[in-house]
Amino acid sequence: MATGSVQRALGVVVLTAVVTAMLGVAVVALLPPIWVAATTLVAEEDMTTTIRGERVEASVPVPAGWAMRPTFADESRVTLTSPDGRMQVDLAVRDAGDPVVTLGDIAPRPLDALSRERTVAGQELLHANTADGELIVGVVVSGDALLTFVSGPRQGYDAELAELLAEIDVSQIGVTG
Amino acid sequence: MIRRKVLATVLVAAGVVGLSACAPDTDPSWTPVQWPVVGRMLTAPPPPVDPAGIALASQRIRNDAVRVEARWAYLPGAQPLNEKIEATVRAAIGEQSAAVGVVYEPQVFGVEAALGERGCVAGVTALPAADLLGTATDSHTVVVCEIVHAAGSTFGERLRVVRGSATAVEMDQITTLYTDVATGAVGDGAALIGETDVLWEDVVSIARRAAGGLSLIAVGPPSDEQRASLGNALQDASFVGGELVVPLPVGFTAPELEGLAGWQTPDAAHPVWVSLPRESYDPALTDFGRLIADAQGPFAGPATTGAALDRTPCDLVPCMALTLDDGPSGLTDGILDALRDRHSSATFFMLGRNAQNRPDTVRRVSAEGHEIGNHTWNHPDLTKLPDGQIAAELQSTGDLLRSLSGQAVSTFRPPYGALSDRVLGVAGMPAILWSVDTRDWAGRSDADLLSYSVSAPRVGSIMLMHDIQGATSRVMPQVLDGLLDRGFSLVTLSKIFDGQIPGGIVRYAP
Repeated sequence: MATGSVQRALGVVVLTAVVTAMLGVAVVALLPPIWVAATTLVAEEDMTTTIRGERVEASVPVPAGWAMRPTFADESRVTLTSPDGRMQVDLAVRDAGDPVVTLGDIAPRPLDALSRERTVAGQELLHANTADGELIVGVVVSGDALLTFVSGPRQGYDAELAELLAEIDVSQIGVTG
Repeated sequence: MIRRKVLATVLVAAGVVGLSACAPDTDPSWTPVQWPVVGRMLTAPPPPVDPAGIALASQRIRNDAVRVEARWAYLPGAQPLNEKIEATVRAAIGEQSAAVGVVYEPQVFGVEAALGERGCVAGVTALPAADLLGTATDSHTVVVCEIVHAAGSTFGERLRVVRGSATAVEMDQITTLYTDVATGAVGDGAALIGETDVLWEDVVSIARRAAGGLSLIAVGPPSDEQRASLGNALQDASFVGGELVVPLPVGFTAPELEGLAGWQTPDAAHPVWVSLPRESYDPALTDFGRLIADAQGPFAGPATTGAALDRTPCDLVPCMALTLDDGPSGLTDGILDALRDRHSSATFFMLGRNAQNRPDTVRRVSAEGHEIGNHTWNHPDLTKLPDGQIAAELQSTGDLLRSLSGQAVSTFRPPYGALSDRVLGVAGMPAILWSVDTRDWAGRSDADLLSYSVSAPRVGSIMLMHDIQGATSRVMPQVLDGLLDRGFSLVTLSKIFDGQIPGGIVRYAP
């Protein structure tokens, strides 16, 4: 009888351990998707969102139909997805940094030559295509502050990115004029 | 208890799956915005127009004293256009003439000078200037042409004037002349576009997109220099498939392009064209430009009806007059075919008795633009006839030829060249003799006849042949080719005298 009780207790312990482990795996593996699902917002009309770091914030347009997804526990990043689900733009702000170095840091793949332009708001815009031509990686500069973006696909969606960039405004918090 | 935990796990898993399923739906019907200005950058010139199906009066001159070579083409019947084309060529020759201090006169060359190929060449105006100037070390001028537009009743010819040597290009100028033959309107490439600034904005925008630009910042207005540069480039623009293809001038740039990794300022080694869609350039079109741009379908301009009806300025091109006596005969049609195929013309001194037997041939001679002169009815020696018979020979023949041809028939050639003051007085019209007698009636071999007929004429020569001689008929195609190769243009008597044939005895043109 004692042996039977021990076996039963052991079984409970094992089962409890298995269930706990399953729950742990579920939390670790599935919480981010749950977060994504729970926090992704589809804009019903044109709107803007703000991402911010300690000393920088950026106003980012979210056109109607686009999905906006903040990063878990990080206000400095946001990901926009086009209504067809094909185009994705990862945006983030940085309080400071050399724009060219930053461009290299955020590039997921080797880059082609760098282009320098001005945005409609008059801010410096540095960007380059990845060598495979799939993505556009760039930085909008406002004083010391930076807004970085990685956008793809490039082909057929570059005009859409240009529209977004035309309405992005980066500013340093506490810095005026 | 175990069951409860299992149940809890299942519920959590179901919740996870359920929440994951809440990801936003996609809309496959959505399409991304496109660039507002749709255009293309081209690194090769637009395809040339094939002039093969267009009747043109092709020209070519070479003058080694003035050091000029020029090729151009007249569009038959398009007088206002042809005058402007000719003015461009004359200006180029005039400047070169002044530069070397030598007065221009038409010049011919030896046999096989290879000047028979004339007129415009597809693609030639897009060649590097150095290719056109060749290897000559002295400064010289080259004029080339290309047909760049032929649609509906509209036509465009591009002339390029290049001056320089093998080591330096001193001048390189392009003029494109357009016409609508239905209205007679003529304008150059710059006359197509009224608002150059409208094009500037789109050209820069297209270049910016092609270079990978992402900024939507508005394109600034051009400077005066940029505006003038683009205006000049319009001389080299073409309508291709409804698009306006504009070459970007060497050195073309704009603030919006500087800094773009994909932008390369065009230079001689890297020419660039911008192709603008209709919606882009339409607001910039002038009324004349719209006339040209709207033209559709195959070219429907007037076909030439004969070389003699076309413009041939004998102070510019080296002219000579081929004359054919004693016909018409059964050989005349073959000679007419050879003349037609080589865009050349002649003067036929016809006998009344032969014209009476071949009225259709007389009509064809006239219809194809050749000139008809009086050679008497029976081919007598007029110096041996009394005045009355001289008058009758000429009167009856003249009346018949006028009625058949519709021409004035205001010159005569005395048979055997036999002439006196008395005959001249009775005839009352210029007596046309010759300066080159081929003696094609004298039984010389075809080779001799060909050789002499090609080599003997000089600028302004009047050459005598007979369209009743088999040898003449046989060698005529080669004679014409040989003369054209030497640089000659074969014209009628009236044309070689610019419509003013002098009275009395005429042996050659001035």
